[in-house]
Amino acid sequence: MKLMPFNFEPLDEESYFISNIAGFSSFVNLKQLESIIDFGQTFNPELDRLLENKLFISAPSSVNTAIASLASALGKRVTIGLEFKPIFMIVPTLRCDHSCKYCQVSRASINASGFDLDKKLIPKIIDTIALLSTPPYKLELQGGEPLLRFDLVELIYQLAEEKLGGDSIEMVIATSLSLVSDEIIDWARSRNVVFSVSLDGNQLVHDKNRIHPSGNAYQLAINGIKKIQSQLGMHRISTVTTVTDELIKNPLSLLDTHKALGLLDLFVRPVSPYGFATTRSSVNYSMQEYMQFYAQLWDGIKQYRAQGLPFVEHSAAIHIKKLFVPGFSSYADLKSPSGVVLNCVLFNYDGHVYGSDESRMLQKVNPQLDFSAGTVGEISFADSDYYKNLTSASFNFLHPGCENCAFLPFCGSDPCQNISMQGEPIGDKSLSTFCEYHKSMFKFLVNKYNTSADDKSLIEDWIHA
Amino acid sequence: MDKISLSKSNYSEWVIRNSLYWLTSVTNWQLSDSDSFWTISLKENNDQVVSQLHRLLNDYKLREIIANKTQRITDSIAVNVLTSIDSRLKSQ
Amino acid sequence: MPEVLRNDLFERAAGESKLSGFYVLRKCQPLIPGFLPQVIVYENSSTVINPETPALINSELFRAIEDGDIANINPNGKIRVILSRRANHNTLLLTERCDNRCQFCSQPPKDGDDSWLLEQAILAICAFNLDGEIGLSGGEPLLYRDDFIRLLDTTIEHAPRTRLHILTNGRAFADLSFTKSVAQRTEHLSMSFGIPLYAANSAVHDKLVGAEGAFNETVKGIINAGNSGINIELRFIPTSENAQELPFVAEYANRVFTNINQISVMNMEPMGWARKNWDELYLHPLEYPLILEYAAKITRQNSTPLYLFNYPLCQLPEHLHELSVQSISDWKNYYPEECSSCSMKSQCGGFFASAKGKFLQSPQRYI
Repeated sequence: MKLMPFNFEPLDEESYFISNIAGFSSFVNLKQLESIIDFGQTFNPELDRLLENKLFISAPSSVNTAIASLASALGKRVTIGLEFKPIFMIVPTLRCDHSCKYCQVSRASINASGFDLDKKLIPKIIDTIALLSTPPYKLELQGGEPLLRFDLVELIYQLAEEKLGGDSIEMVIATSLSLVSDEIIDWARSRNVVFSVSLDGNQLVHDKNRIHPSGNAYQLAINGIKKIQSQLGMHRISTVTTVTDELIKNPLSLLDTHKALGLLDLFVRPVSPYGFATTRSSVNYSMQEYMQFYAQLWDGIKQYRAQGLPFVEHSAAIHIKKLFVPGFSSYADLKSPSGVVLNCVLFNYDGHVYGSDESRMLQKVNPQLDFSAGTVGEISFADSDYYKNLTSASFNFLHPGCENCAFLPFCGSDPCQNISMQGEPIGDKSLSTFCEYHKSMFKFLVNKYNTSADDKSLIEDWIHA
Repeated sequence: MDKISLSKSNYSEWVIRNSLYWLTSVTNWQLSDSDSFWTISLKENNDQVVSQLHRLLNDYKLREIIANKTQRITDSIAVNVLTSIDSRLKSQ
Repeated sequence: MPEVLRNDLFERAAGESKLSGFYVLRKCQPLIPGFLPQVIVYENSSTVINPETPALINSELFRAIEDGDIANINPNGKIRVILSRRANHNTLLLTERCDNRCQFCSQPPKDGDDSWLLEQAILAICAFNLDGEIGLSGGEPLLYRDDFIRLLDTTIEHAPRTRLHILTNGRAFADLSFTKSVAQRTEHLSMSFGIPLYAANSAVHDKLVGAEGAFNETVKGIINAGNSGINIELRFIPTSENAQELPFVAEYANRVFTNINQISVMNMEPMGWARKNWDELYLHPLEYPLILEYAAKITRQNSTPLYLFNYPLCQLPEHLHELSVQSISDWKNYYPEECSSCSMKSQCGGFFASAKGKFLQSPQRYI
């Protein structure tokens, strides 16, 4: 048999994860790996058949077919990755009633002026969205705290409904829920609106970093969650958890907090290394410590599932879909080419338009440079050197450090993070937090998949989550 | 700084440089060479770092064999991909 | 075969004019000259209006057809309705020649020039002018490449609302310039190609289709066709030789191929060579439910659906029933005695008329 190009990653002393550019993957031991490389086969007929079916080796008479197949698969991935399917983010205000320690975008204080979106820009924003995309339109309101300007939220929805059609829009409001009033609940009832709230753990953990003048950020969030659940339904609220030094010591408290609220969906991630987040004292853990935390969280989830509580952790579910679902590329933060512009267009409060949330953070930290693609009504991503370079520099299969990685076909690239941390879009992967985090997650998951039937069945469940 | 010497007949520059690339996150290193040897100086030279380096060297030697054996195939895949993306874009 | 759902075979009465070949069956006047000669079908001799025009007097045939159906009358007087507006599937045979020799072929190929079949088919498609789907099969329908392109062009001109479904081994699409000329026609005519792939490796596929090199051409063909924008239905027939290959084929389809609209898993039909090789090849569906389930799971994660064809419901585990399609063409479809009191009969695809004796897996009633 003839050897075809592939990559491998050691999982432990014995086992290796192997993959190729078509996105096929499998597991072999060291002896088998060496035998494949030396002889183009393992001499185990069943395994050799599997390796041939997945294009790791090829019958001599089919080499050209295997080449055409690998090429077609890679072409398919690139074409899907290049599809323009943006989420539209709108920042009605940068002002916020919280002053969280690791706030990524910075914020403006609640009484500051000049940090709200001009009402007159909203029709132009909606026109731009109609021009750029097709239904269903995904709108995400970011902040600051968007509900400080509920009047703008209402207006955005109303104009979007008129222009794009009520059945064609889905709106997510990212909020701390401190301001959720009966009026807002009533408004949301008949509309296609869901709320996304940060919930970092129990009261102690949450309030340590999420600072509201009342000292009660946690209680405000909990009250808001319950209010939405009871009046609008369970599916109208989801949580996002940023892992801090406090939570890392006590992973199970996160599950208990969610369980008490009847929330079985988690979205857990390490603190983003952008801009302001790491300069504060809330994060001192290493990625190794994060993965130890995650392993404990995983075991906790498994125990609850055995008791009939089917928790799903969506960060892992995204990595799992990337591994096992060909064509899954809808998650902007883990794709190649990167999701900048292709998967996100952000309208900032000041009328500037960005290709990602991260780009607006870069702007905040580097005010002397222009990271925007212009202003509402006068946008061009193609005219911007920043976006041109960003997209072309975000094909990970061309990156040193990525080209030999077995997780390459499933991973993404984050040119903004590389600019932020290393000053250029490609970056040294050995120093990249993005690489360290995603590689660790992939390794964790494929190792679980390979070593335990229990974990394998959980992972297969989450493929559909 | 302790030094590790590796014979050039056993390790290509590609293997050495790729291995050191990933050693950066573990420790600082310096590379020098003579006619027949690579010399790697490690800032932290404990068993763990050295075994990590050897694992990397070993893996990259395997990767080098794959790359050598499949270079021609990789090249034709690249040509094929461009043709297939081209024709797909035209058919849309 | 009296118990099939729709009879398509009739006898010409003794003494009727010696018509033979393809005809448009008409139930009313006037006859308009067209692509094929026309013949009036009368219910009985008292309804004959114009004794001058060619006619068939056959009440059974009269009740079985619609005005404008197409029949093939052979020299011995057998009348087969080949295109029927009442049928659930209409299929035309373009050739009996084939470059594969599938071990389970239900219609074993013959050699020799039979290009007249394709010429007749072109006329039949245009005369029938259906706003619906016509299947084209063989043999290998793409064997006569230029003639096939001419068939497409003529259909575009004279029967543009007709949708074509072509059952091919896909090897012709390995030729990119032929693929491109088919792809150009997809702008003007709705068509899709059913292409079987029996394994993701050449050893198993080539053995089953009895042709070395077939795998290479079929895979390249599917890649070329899909990337050129041609719609493909990927087909798979599980046998004892290849059932375990199905999940690999499903993953291959999702990672490598484009434009696969559907994966169809088809139960073997006990006709032709499949009858001869039945004992070596046939695998009862209950011997591979896990494989079906796993393949369905792989495809469910993607946008490519997987369906099961020609499976009586009683031979599938219940959770796979939703994937099953009532698919057997009505002229060869029947329900054995045991089915009459089955509560699922109306949702079930039933059996091939050829499934009798050892070829019939005993039906199980749902009460």
